[in-house]
Amino acid sequence: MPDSHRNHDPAGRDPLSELERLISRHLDHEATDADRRRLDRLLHADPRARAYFEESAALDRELHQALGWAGRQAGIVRVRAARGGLRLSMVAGLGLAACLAAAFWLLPTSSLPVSGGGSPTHAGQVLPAGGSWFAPPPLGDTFISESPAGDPPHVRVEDTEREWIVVPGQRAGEYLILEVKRIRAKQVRIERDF
Amino acid sequence: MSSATADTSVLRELVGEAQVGSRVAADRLVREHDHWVRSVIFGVTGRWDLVDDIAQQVWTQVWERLPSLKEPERLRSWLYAVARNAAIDANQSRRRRSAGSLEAVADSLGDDGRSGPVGSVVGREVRTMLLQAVEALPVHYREPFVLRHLQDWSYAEIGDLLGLPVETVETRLVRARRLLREMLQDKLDA
Repeated sequence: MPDSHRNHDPAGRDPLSELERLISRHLDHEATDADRRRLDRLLHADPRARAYFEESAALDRELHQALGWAGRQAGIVRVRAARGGLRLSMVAGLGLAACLAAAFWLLPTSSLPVSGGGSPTHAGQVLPAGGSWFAPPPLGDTFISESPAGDPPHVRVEDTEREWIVVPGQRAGEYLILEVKRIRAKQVRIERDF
Repeated sequence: MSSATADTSVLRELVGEAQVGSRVAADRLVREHDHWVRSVIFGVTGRWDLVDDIAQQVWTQVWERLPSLKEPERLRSWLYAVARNAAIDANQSRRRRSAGSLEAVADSLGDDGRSGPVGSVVGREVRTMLLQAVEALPVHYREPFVLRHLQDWSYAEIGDLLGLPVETVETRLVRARRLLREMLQDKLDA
């Protein structure tokens, strides 16, 4: 940051400069009209301030993209991709609701797995290996594996990227299954010399 | 946060129904809160690869403890406390186990496949570097920074959740940016 824009207080603390605050407000869409006019004056008056602003904005964009990628891996649905943009949560919510409703419609609650134990257990209704949860169930040796007692309480469905949140239902032995929406990409390292 | 549940009476009714076992209400609570709960977990741990497991623990705890929630209108702050504590616990146990670094995790899970082979390697390195810098931030700076970027929340919304004045949120975001810039400037120039 240009030294001319850094304020030093007598207490020896490092107060935030006006330029940093204005840039941060601008990047966060929190700047008022007065803030924007003040920032504009500072940027026109000092090329170093302009360079600092442009570098800050570029770094913020990079960080936003990196965090967006990490957020997608973590199953975080962006609520507002941009001000006034599409409400992605509504779309995801409708999808989740449809999945949940279909899951309860298709699966008798008595067939839902209960965590505990350590070995795979056949459920009352089998899951398609590598196929759709909602496809007609095959008669093969597909199964739901139960987590060991020490694991976090969740159930992983074999041969699929889907994961589920399992929570206790209203009645004893009844569990809710909530789909966790996420997309994972797999990368294969190419080591052979073509 | 302008959803219907922001309305106290609606929220009270929704939580009340979930407390007595309404599946629809429980489903709606998850749908409306899961994304920011996950952002809080990410903000506290700085590790996206831990979020899924911790989020599942959080929701399991929520359903176990929901009947004891006396003030449904405080659901958000209650959920925040549950998520934050679970994330802190997971972080501590991870450190005890000396789990792999962010870089190792990024290597093992790979790229998103949207760019070519060369671009993906460079892009992945830059992304890993950026995320490591975010992970290196003190948690009180990282939390609002992650919420700002992942939830696109205003200073007021972030302050409301974290229990901080708007001015403090702003100060933390400015300081987070300053720290990130200091950490990354030389690396990105190179």
